[in-house]
Amino acid sequence: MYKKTLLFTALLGMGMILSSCFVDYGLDSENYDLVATSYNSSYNFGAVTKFAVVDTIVHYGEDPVSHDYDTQIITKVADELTGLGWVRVYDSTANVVVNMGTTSTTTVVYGSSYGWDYGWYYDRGAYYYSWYYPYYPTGYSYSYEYETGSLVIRMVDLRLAANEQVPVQWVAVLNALMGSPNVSSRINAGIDQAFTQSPYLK
Amino acid sequence: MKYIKIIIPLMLFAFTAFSQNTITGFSWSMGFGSGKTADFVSSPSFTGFSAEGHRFMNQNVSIGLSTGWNILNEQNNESITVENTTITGEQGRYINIIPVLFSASYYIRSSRKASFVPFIRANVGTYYIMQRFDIGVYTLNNDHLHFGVAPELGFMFRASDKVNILTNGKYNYAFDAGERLSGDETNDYAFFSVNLGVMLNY
Repeated sequence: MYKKTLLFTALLGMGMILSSCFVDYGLDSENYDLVATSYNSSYNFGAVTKFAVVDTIVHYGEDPVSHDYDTQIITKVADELTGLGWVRVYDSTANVVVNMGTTSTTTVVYGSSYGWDYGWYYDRGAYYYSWYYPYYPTGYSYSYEYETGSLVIRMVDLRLAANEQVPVQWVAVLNALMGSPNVSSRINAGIDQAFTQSPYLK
Repeated sequence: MKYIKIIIPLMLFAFTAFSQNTITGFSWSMGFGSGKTADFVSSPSFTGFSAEGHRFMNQNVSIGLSTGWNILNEQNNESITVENTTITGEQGRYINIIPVLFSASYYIRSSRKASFVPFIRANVGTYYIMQRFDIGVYTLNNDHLHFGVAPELGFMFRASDKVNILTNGKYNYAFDAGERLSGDETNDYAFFSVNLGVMLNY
């Protein structure tokens, strides 16, 4: 009875240890999208009635983001601003001007040290499992790189320009992994989110 | 990793040294964040374990040592707002907690063969806490060793001469150490753990 209890306890313990391995939700490429917004809290967005949109998107970076979606982006942003009750104008009567740009960034990750990712090691000779620490022997390391693209939407009030500078009153940054699928729908979803999380614009 | 290598021999040594008049136990440990810990991960955790050993000084008092692993995880896409900036994206939030606690316990019982034994316990020691925050393609890590305390209430039910069923609840508080992941406030953690397991008499 006592041995059975010990065995049961040991098995219970092993099960709990197994279930206690580090969890990693492993966000996939479609979950990498980020939307960040920021605003000047002293600016009175409630007084804005007219806006203008610069009809060209500036593309920066060594590997510029595709121009294929420029028209979609400009149209979508203008629609969102119109949805605020603002009127789009094409002259200097605009209270605010919105311009957009894209950038791309390549990040390279190198690794060659012990990791925390415990796993199971299968020993073909002894047919047993045991804990192991993944490691990278001398002379062996891993590396990978990824490229992210960002769309930056900026809103300025040209009446506040001084010394050839104009303060940004609102900015939205949409960041995503380059090469991810469903670009068009994700651009629309990102722009929607930027305005949803900026209720102070109304 | 070094921390694990120290804990295991220490526990084995302690349990061996306690071979007389000793109880050892193994429990399934559930965790519930509190305060800032709950702000980071609000979901309850049902993944964790606790191992402990206690040596009786007399019928009512024991000293002991415990360790374990509590894992608090959560995946969400909540917006995070800090002052005038809001960020939205899919997030993975992880807290792994490994305590090593020395304890003093008081058992409320009139004989060693009592079938129901409530106890109170004071734990003091260290918590190794690994916090990770994934959002988009970005990851933030924060690992620190904290001094901590844990008041505990529990019950043991005598199942046989050698075996007791254990249930207890513990409030764990790890004091400020290092910098907080968000860079503000103090880097302390608090969580409740509820344990269900088996205690063996020797």
